[in-house]
Amino acid sequence: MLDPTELLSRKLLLVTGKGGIGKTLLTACLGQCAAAAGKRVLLVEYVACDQLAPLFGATLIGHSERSVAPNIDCLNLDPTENFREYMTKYLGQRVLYDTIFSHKVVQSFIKTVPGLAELMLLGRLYYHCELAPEPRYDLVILDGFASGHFLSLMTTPAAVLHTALGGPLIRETERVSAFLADRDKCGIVYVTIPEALVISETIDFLPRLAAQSPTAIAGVVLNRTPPPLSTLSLPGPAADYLARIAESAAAATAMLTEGLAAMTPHDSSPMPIWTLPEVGFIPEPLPADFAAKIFTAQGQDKAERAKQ
Amino acid sequence: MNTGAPNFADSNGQKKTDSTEALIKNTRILVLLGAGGVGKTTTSIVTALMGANQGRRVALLSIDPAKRLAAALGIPLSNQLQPIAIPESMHISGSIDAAMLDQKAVFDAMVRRHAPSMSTAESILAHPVYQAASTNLAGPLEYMALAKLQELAEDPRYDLVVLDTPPDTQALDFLARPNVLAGFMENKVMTWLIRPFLLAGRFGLTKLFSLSEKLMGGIAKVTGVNALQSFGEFLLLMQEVISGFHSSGEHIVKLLHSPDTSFLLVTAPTEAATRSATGILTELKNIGYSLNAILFNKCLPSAVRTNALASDDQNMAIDPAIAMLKRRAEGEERVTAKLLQACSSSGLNPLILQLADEDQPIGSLTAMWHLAERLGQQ
Repeated sequence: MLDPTELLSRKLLLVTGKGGIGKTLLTACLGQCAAAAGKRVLLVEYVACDQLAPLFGATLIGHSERSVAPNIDCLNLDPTENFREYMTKYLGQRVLYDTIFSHKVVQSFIKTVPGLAELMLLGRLYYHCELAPEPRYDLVILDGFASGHFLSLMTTPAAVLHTALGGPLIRETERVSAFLADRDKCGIVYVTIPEALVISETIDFLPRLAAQSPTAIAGVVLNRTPPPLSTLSLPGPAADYLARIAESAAAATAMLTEGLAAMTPHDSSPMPIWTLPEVGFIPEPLPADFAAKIFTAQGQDKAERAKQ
Repeated sequence: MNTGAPNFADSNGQKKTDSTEALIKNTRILVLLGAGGVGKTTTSIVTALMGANQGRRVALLSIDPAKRLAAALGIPLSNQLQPIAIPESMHISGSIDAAMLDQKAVFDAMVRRHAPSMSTAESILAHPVYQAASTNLAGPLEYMALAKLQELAEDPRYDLVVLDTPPDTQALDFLARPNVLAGFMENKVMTWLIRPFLLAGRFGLTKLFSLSEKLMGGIAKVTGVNALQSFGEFLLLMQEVISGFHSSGEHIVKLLHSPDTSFLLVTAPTEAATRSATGILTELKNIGYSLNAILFNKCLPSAVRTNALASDDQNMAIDPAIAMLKRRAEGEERVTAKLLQACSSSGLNPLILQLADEDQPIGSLTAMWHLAERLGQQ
């Protein structure tokens, strides 16, 4: 089960994992939980087509924060717009921007300088967490890139700092880096599913992420966990199917637990694994209590077992 | 020119899209499209196997595949085509040469090949920002894949080329305008913008002049010029590579429009994947390419679907998991119908294929051959 209380006490959560396994859904669900707990939350994505907004029944959010549900705002960052805001708002270089960076040719430069868009994205998240005028969001959640790209996002600030430069960009990057490294404020949530190939990629990837990312991994979410087997269901293809997926998921889950234990230093406890149930089909928009239901689904199982 | 590939025009009247076998038989270039996580790379390998089974000599270009997938095929991530060892037990008469393009490997190789000196190459490769960023310079890689595609299409050693595209192809811009590397080559912008950095490195900032002085001074003010100097070198090198490619853009457009080029859209029966797929097919239609087939991947197996849909309330009260399967079956039917509707309202009539989630390979060529057999029946 996922008791999100501890997780949601942070200011910034970064959600990542392989493509197509539920990053966007988890981002939306964490948002619902935080909002239900009375927090004001901002969900951020960075994609060509909005994927978060439709989960809340909204279309085309674009590059400005927009409310999609009570206490929940969504934002789909555009790299060029983000650069403009970064320059004018955060670095206080409006004149510089207006005279130089608004130039068309410079716009294409922004998209092509390696690492620049990544740096601006992190800067923007930091701004919303720590710098924006009050009242700020209580929690910002990034529906992050898929694993490999996410790793390079997280290594960008250190890379920039290693260039031994000065100037506002570096001072800003130093602040962002320090913020990202604060375990109480920031955490990565890694999403995976109980399928052998995906789990083996997870076990390969997590140690690299842990070693290279300034932000700590808060935990692993095992999404799409099949329901426990029922002895009562009628025999037939559906029951057989449920038995097969339960079996292969159990094997994959064991592999994950073992893998995480192996990467844990002797003096500390392994990274938490939170399981979320297979819901069958993800409806759009999500019902308002969707997250509450899936977050407690298996918690109830556990509670009942504990009672016996 | 006898390429060995069946010519579309004399394919004894068989419609190109009657079956997967026929589609592949009448295709010389197969382009796979789809959002991340739908199984596009796996499908590219499966279709390559089907081609090889027809006796074809297949070249498979895959962009950024999972390392484990490359390992399963027994080939390293590299931009060089390498033969895949197909087990004899499969009785496949053709062959597959595959290149698994790894972004970083591709860029590293390009820097080495085009740098004016070894020391320049090494300084770019060692640059921390280059190292952090070289895994996600997605744009240029797509164009390189197209350049490679052209090379392979003209290579008499191959008669079927399968191109797997990167996951984030929502814009499909690189297919629409392969002669313009988006935002990169516009009016030689990069040369104009970057050269001053190189000069600045050599002569100092004071030697810069006119607008570019103001511009560069501005950029230097926030970034420091030195950081950008090696990017400058890198981008100039990129430009050299790309400008060679620039001239052949029109040729590639022609290639992509040719009747023996086919587009296969891979999707999954979820709301999110359907939204991406709808975007892709609309865009494809706008650019003027045809969509020849859609593969609905990771579906509930059909017997399970039928069984779940037939479950009554009592059934589901006994086992809530059956209710979950029923919801999934209903949802899958709804979004599948939605995408098919989008096809017909765009005037597209693609071949419809389906694979169940249980058919997903566990990372071996044998498992993929099983998938190929499944597709071959459709």
